[in-house]
Formats: sequence, C-alpha cells, structure tokens
Amino acid sequence: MTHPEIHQKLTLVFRDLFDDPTLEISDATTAKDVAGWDSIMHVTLIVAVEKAFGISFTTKEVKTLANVGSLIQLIAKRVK
Amino acid sequence: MSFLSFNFALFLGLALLLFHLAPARWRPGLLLGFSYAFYLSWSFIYTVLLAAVTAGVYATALWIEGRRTERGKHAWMAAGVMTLLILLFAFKSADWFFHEFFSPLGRADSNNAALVVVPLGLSYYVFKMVGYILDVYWETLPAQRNFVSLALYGAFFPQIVSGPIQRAQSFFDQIDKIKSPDAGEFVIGLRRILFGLVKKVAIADRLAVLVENVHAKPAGFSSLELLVGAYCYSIELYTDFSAITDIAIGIGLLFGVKGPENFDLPYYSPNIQVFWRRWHMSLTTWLADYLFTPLRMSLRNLGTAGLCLAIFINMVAIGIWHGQTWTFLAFGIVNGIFLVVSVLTLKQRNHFFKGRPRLSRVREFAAPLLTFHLVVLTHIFFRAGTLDSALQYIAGLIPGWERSAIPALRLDLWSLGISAPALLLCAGAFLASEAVTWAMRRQFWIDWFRATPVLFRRALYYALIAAVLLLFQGTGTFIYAGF
Amino acid sequence: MRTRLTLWLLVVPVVAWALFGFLGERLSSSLTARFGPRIVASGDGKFTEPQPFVKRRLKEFAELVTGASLLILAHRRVAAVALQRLPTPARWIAQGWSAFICLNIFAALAAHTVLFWTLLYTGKIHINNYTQYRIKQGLLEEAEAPSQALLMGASQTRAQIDARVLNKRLGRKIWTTELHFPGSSVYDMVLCLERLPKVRLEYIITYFSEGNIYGGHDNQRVMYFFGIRDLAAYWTLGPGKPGFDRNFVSGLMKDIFPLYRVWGPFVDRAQFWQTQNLKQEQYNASLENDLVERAQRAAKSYSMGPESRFQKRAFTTFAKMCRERGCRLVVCCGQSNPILDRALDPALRRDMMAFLHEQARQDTNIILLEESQLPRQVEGDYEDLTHVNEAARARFSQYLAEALEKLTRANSRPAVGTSASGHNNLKNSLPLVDDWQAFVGHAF
Repeated sequence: MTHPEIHQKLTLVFRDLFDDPTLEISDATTAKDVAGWDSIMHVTLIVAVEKAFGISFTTKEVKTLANVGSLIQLIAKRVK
Repeated sequence: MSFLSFNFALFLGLALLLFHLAPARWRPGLLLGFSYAFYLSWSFIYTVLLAAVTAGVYATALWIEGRRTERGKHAWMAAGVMTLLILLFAFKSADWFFHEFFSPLGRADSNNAALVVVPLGLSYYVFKMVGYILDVYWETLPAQRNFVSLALYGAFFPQIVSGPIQRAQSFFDQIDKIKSPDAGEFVIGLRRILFGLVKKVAIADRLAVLVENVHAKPAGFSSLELLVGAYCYSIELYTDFSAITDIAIGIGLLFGVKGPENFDLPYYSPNIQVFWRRWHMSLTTWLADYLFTPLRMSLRNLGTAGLCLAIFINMVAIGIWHGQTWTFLAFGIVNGIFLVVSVLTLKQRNHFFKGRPRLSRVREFAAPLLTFHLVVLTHIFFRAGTLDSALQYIAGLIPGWERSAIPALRLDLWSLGISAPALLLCAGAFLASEAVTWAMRRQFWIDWFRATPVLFRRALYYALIAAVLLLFQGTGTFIYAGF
Repeated sequence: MRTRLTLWLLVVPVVAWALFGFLGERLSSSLTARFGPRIVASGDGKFTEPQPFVKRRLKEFAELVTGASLLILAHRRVAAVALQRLPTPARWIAQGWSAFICLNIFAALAAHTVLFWTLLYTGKIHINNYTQYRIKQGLLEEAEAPSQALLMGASQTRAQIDARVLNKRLGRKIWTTELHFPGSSVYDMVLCLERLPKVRLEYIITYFSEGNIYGGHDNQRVMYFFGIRDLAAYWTLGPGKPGFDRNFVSGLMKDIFPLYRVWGPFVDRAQFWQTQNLKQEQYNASLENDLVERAQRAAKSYSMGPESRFQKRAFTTFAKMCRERGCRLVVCCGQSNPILDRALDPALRRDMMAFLHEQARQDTNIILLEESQLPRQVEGDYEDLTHVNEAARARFSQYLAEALEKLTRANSRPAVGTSASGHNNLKNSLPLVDDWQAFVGHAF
C-alpha cells in the first residue's frame, strides 16, 4: 500500500473511533491534538488499526510511536 | 528531614550556596552528594540499599543494550523489573505479613507496630528505575553510561520524598541545565515553593484537625457534618499533595531541573476518566505507559472484557501502591468500577447530549459536580482507617440510615474542631489558590504579574512568608510522604 | 539614596545612646511616675523597684538598636559586594546567607536582654515555658539584694513554694527567684545550673519527691538547655543516660544558630491571637478525673534501674556544682499527693531517703529538710497528683521562709565543706555579709 492510501484508510478509522466525521489528521498530528485521545483510547486505536489493516504490532513498536506519521510508516512496514 | 523544618531549610541553603559557587562540571556530582547526604540523614542502611539498587539498574540497562538477541534482552529486563517490584512489594507488605502470620494477637499488638520501616521514597525511586529499564528495553532511550547521572536521577532529593515521578529521558535531557542553571527559573522556583508552603500551612494543616476528628468517630457526627468532613478531606488531600509537589518542583528549579506536573485542576474534570488524567499525573501517566499499555496490548484480543480488565487492574494497582490495606484496595476497586462504567458509556453519553444543546449546557455544570462527588466518595475509603469505619462513614452520610440521636442537618463547628473564622479562611485561601493555579498556566496572567510594580510583588512575597511563619503549626509532615 | 540610608544607620545608634545617656534617668522616672504600679504588678513579684527596671530596659533598647543598625550596615556591605562579584542566582543566595547570619547574630544579642524576652511574653494562660525562664534568668543579674536564692526543679517546686512569700521575709538580704522548668529531672537541673549567670547565690532550694529520680526521663527539656559545652561531658555520663536523639541535636542546633533558639517563642508570640486551641481544650475536657486510676498508671512508670542511678549521679554532680559556686543546696524531702504515695512502691521512698542522707552525710553543703519537719499535706491540699493548691502553697512557703531565716542566722559560723582536694578550704566558707564582721572579729 502507498502512503496516501494508508493515510486515507487511517483517517476513516480515526473518524469512526473519535465519532467525528470531520476529523483531519496529518503526519505531525499527536495525541495532544485530538480531543479524547488518551492512553485508553490509544490502545483502542491500535486495536482498530490492526483490525482494519489485518496486521499486528508488538508493544515495543507501539511504544516508539511519536505521531501519526510514524504510525503510517509502521503500518507500511507491516503491510508489506 | 521534613521539607517544613529548620534543619531542611538550613540544608537547602547550604546546598544552594555550595552548588552555585562551584564550577559547572562539578555540579551534578555535588547535587548527587547532597541527595545522598539528605538520604543519610534519615537512615544509613537504606542509603546503602539505594546505592545498591542504582548500581544494579545501571548494570542491567547496559546488559540489556549489550545483548544481541531479543530473548537475552527480555531476560535481563524481566529480571531487573521483577527484582525491583519484589523489593517494593516486600517492604510495603512486610508489616502486614508479620501481623497476619506471625503475630497471633493481630494488629492490636502495638508493640510490634512498624517492625520494618519502609525506606524513604522507595515507591518513587523503584518506579523511576523500572521505567528506566523498560525505556532502555523498548529502545526509546539509550542506556545511561554516566553513573552519576543515573544515580542522581534515582536519588534526586526534592523528588525522592513524594515525587513527582520524573521520566528518565526528561531528567537526562536536563543534566546540562544543572551545569548552568537559569536565574529566571530560580525565581520561578522560589515562587513555586512559597505557593506550596502557603497551601500547606493555610489550608491543608487547618483542615487536618477537622478531618481527623470526623474520621476518628463517624458515629458522633450528623450527616451534614460528615459531608462537610468529606469535602474538607478531598480539599485537604489535594492541597497537601499539590503543595508538596509545588515545593518539590520549586526546589528542583533552584538547581535547574524542571519536574513534571502532578495536577491540572482535577476537581473540575467532566468525567472520571479525565479526572485520572489530571490527578497525580506523574503516577498515572507512568502506570499508563508502563503497566496499562503493555497489559492492554496483551489483552487486546479479549475485546471489551480485556479493556475492562486492564482498567480494573490499573486502578487496583493505584490503590495498592498507596498501601496494602483493605481500604486502599477498596479505593482501587471503586475507582475501577467508576472508570469502567464511564469508559463503556462515554460514546453513548456523548451521542445523547449531541442532539440536545440545552442539556449540554447543563452538562457543563453538572458533570464536574457529579465527578467531584464521586471522587469525594472514593476519598472516604482512602482516608478511613478500616473498611468498617469507611462503610460506617458512608452510611452516616445518608440521613436516616443510621439510627442516631443527632439531627441530620446539625453543623456544630466546636465538635468538628474548627472555628468559623478558620473555616472561612480555609475556604477563601482555597479559592484563591485555585485561581492562582489556573492563572499560572496562562501567559496573559504571567505577563500581567510580571508587569506589576516590583514593590507590590515584594510586599506580597513578604506578606505570604510572614503568613506561613505565623500560621505554621504542627510537625510539617505531608500525607504523601508516607507512600 | 544608598548613602543616605547608611548615614541614618550610623546616626541612629549614636542618637539612641546620647538620649539614654542624657535623658535616661529622667525618662525612666517619668515612666515610673505614670506607670509604676502597673509595671510592678505585671512583674508579679519578680522585682520591687520599677525605676531601675525601666532604666535597664531603656539601656537594653539602646543596645539592641545599635546592634540592629550595625548588622544592617554589615549586611548591606556584603550585598553590595555580592552584586559586584557574583552572577545571579549565586548573588541572591549569598545575600540570603548574609541576612541569615546577621539575623542569628541579632538573635544572640537579643537573647541576652530581658527586654527581648518580655516582648515575647505570652501571658499566664498560654505560657511559653522557655520565655518565662529566660526573663527570670535575665533578672537574676539585676537583683538589688546582696545575695540571692534560687528555687530550682520541676513544676512541683513552683507549686509548692511561692517566692514572693520568701522575698517578703528575707528579700532585703536574700532575694529569691523561682527558676523552675516544668518536667525537669535532675539531669535537666544540672544543665540549667551550668548556664546560670555568675551571681552571688546563697541557697539553691529544691522540692524533691520520687518523681525526680525514679519517674523516668523524657528529653524535652534537653532541647532548651543542652549545648556544645555539654557534648564532651555527655559521652562520659555512664549507663542509664538519655539516648542521643532529636532533642539533643535540636539543642546543639540552637547553640549554633541563636535564631533557632528564639524561633519557637517568637512564633508562639506571633500566633498568640489563636487563643482558641480547640484540640487542647477538648483534650483537657476528656482527661479523666479519677485520680486513683491516674495514680495507678503513673506509679507503673516509676522504676529503679539504670535511669534512676543516672539521675542519682546527676544529683551528686548538681551538689558538687552548688558547692563550687559557694552556695548551699537545700533539699526538701517532699511528698506527692497521698493517693500517689500510696500507689508507689515504698522501697522507692526508702531508697531515695537513704541516698539523700548519704549525700548529705558526705557533703555538709547539702541541707536536708526532712519530711517530718515539713508541713504535712493531705489529699485535700492537692489539685492533682503532684501540685498543691494555693492554701497549701502559702503554708509551705511560710514554713520555708522561717526555716531559711533560722538557717541564715545559724550561719554565723562559716560552713566548712570538703572540697575535691580534701582539705578544709576557706573559700568554701559562706558567712553572710552582716556576720562577716563578727567572724573577722572572732579571728583576731
């Protein structure tokens, strides 16, 4: 999958999870920028991403995520 | 040495003098020396323990980094973390174990009270070290090669008594600042210390007497008095703990280290999830990063049940961290229940209110009020000596539940142990301190304050210092220094 | 602006001394004329003449003003140097230390004046024991009489003996000051005696009962009276001595930092407006009034052992110190409330009396007033387990005054005590001033 494809699919996941159909994310978006994205939501998000893309992460990888951009990179690596 | 003692003030003054007159490269080492001297003033043998733990963690982190295989890394990480947690658990429950299994007379045998003294700050420095090891294992942080830096991280005296629990990364980044601290931050630190002192002396210590009376004998008070007592305890706990955090952060700033915040006006949170994001933040974020997230990740295949279990375990851990008693366990469980219910229904609640703008406005006021009351309820468990007295307290809150000769709405200040002027002073001081806390984070008010005439600010500081000195009573112990 | 302040700071003390020198007498007499009776009444028998009292306080005021001015000048100098030489924040820290040291020096100066302690006085109800003690100790040096007597010991001594009665009888020759400290054990009395100013003492009088020796020892007095000078002796005190705890450290700190010493009394005075200490009142209200039960409980805490032996050694030291000062030690072998006396092990009393008799036999400087000689006190005379009421106090004080008078008259022969070197030392003889001529007359 290419970067924009991942970005598009990810946006849908975010919108569904945070119940906000107008939510936009960029590579630089972090947890502080989205209302309701706390540690509980964070793992729920990871679970939703895993389900949507059919992949699975390790705790170590999840720990090193700094922003949405690094998440997309991780997804790209996994999907391959 | 309590932070509120002449000896500590002297120690701090001496430490500051030597620190700021010393050449820059000596400063971290000097600060380490002061931290160990501070710890030594309390106990020699446990200072050795602290040093041993630091040495062990230093070696473990280097070995984790050195292993090539994932299994090797995992093994060292598990060994290190397990040892530290067992150490913490052993010390904290040693007293309980002894009483339950070796003393047939049970807790009534006061001669054996506190056979094993828990090392000062054990909870805090063990958590710091566990976090550090996990950070190295997850490769978010390179292993620290400078032993002085790691030792200082563990033993840093402003933070060792009651936190805040700073992250290793955040601390190591500031080691250079220790070498040349900023004068502006020095002043901010002093202001922070003064603020903490005022909160402690003017509010927390005053309310402590009232709370002590009410919790000692709940049956002797009316429902209204118990309610007032519960409110006062929540305020006392908050001001006491935020005061020691302010003092700890302030002292850190005097040496160039900025510690993490612990509170963000928690009592105005719209729901209990948000509350736990704003209360004792350094502990809850630590648990979120090092307990909750890994736990949740491993339970994620259990779906909602996994989520609830992870939340529950997290909350019970918070409860037990404070102490191995039934009341703290109950505190954890009650919080777990509240949190699970809140998390599971949040989406539905938000949906419900989205279509009702007027009700949403009511929600803005009602939600923090409701959350505050839920928190006050959990604090009853936190404070009570035994589970029985906690339940008795709660039963007493409900007018008519207990058959009591005391009218439900009686408010007798004399039996509560506080005079009306003192209570009003506390209330006023609390509102003022909340306003200041709120303004402290807003640039507009910071600039406004900086623009006031110097004379006004000086007068204010001296007045507050005088107030602290005049109002100070008692021993100066803090609630969270016991955890 | 800076130099103007410096000028003021130099001028003010000069003016203060000039005023005192020229107007001191006139000012003190006019103040006495206006407020004389009130001043004496507030003194409550601690002094008789208001004018010298006022004059000395004015002098002390001038001294304190001078000290303050010079210290402020010194601090400003240091602050200016710090401004030039040091960067912030080191500069502020240095200035803070300078202020701290100056405050300590001022506290040391102030603590030597009676004026300072009278300003810290919080009244009879909310007593700060140490403030009271310092006032009385300071006044020792101002007594008009040719020699003095001291009442030392725990609160029982104060409850039993009224110094005013003694002064009414003997005050012109021997001025009695009551210098007790509540809760004192014998070791505490030793520490107190060490710090007394060098005044001419005729007698040190104490009211002794079992509690002084066998009642155990809590270290609270130590923080006021233990100091660096006692540290060396502490290590040689032998078994049964009090453990070196926070109170000892506190005492040492108070020696090193005079500010710390005055801090407690200062805070007490400043917090004086908080007269309603609800907790204390609630506690007092809940104290059981059953004296018999309290006596039973108290009696359990009395014991013979290393601690009581330590207190006995302290007594020997105390007696020796009295001898070296050239004053006689009068020990009233007293009692407590008969309820308590009945609850105590009679062996304690026998042991105590045997000890005191042995001490008096070895050291003729010690005068024992036996229990049989003292007015008998019954349960009705007591307010609680150890303190008598006013009527019994008056009675006892009358008796003691008479006894002292007889003693003083009988003292026309110099008392020869055995000094440490073992031979009769005329330096230890204690004729009264009036009888000195008679003595000299006898010798030649």
